[in-house]
Amino acid sequence: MTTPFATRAAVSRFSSWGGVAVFFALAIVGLFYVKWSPYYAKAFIAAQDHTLGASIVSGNLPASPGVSLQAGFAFSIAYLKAIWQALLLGLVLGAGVEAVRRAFGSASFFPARRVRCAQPLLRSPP
Amino acid sequence: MMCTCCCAPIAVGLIESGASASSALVYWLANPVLNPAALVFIGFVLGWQWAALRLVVGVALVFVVGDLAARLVSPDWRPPGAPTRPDNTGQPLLLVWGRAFVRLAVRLIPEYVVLVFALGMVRAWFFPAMTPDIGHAIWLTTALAAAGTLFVIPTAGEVPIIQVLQQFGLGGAGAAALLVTLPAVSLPSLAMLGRALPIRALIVLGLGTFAFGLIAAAAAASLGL
Repeated sequence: MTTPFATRAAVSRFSSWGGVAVFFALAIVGLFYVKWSPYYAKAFIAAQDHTLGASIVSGNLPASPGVSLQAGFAFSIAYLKAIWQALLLGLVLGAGVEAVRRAFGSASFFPARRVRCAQPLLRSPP
Repeated sequence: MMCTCCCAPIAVGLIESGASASSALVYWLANPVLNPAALVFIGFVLGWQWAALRLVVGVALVFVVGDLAARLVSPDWRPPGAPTRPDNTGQPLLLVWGRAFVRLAVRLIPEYVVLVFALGMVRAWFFPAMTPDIGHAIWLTTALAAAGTLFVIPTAGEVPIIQVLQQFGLGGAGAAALLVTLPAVSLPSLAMLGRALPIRALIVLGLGTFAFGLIAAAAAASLGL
């Protein structure tokens, strides 16, 4: 027994709109948690102290550490600690853009390139 | 509001979903360069004249470099890694989303981590030891514009870098070059975009950022910053 085609299309259309809602909710909550909220707090610290702390390149020194594996590890850890949440959000949103566009199965998202997008999508339900 | 690397997966997703290269590139460049939080930090830490310089040169950079690079992407350009089977319509959206996430992560992250490690290891080559003697040299300004184009930093990471170097004698021109080039692009983020754009567009993004670093340096020098 199979679901009638029209019902299936309707369900999938409904879940597509749900997906768009989830996408925007994730974008707003994620940006608030990773970016807006911490930066708002940081702005007051910057206003008060006139500094954001040590440089990721050279700390508080005029020169960077010489070329060594140790320098690579220290920088990688400091850098990844600072950005991993934002990178995760970027991957989730980047994948979300693709997923939502494909779930809709239409080229209506980006009309500028409609012709090219529409061609491989002809097989999607009407 | 994101740094150039964290924003790169979104730009790749946009291009592979069929967005025009110019809109994706303007979005990608504006995120770090015109980040309002970074502008506020620059204002409080370095001074509001620097925030104004970053805003003015940054707007020009975003639209000029983004548009120039997009012109090199032909209208029938097909991202090499883009999914060729678009008929996923019947599948649950979360499944499609999860698969897209894994696909992006596997393609982008390993190369990115290796490049970050390599840049961190040789960062002494990018940033010469600062002294008041070399702080205003033209060769240093040019070198810092190139270093800022290639080197990778977290959001607003350019602010402490410039502040510390200024304390040891960095002049206005070099500071301006770093202020514009450090956040805009980096070797790892260009490598990520390389999954979705032709190499000539990447070269224009890099050279354009370098050129706008020099423009910012010239502006700072003539304004006496």
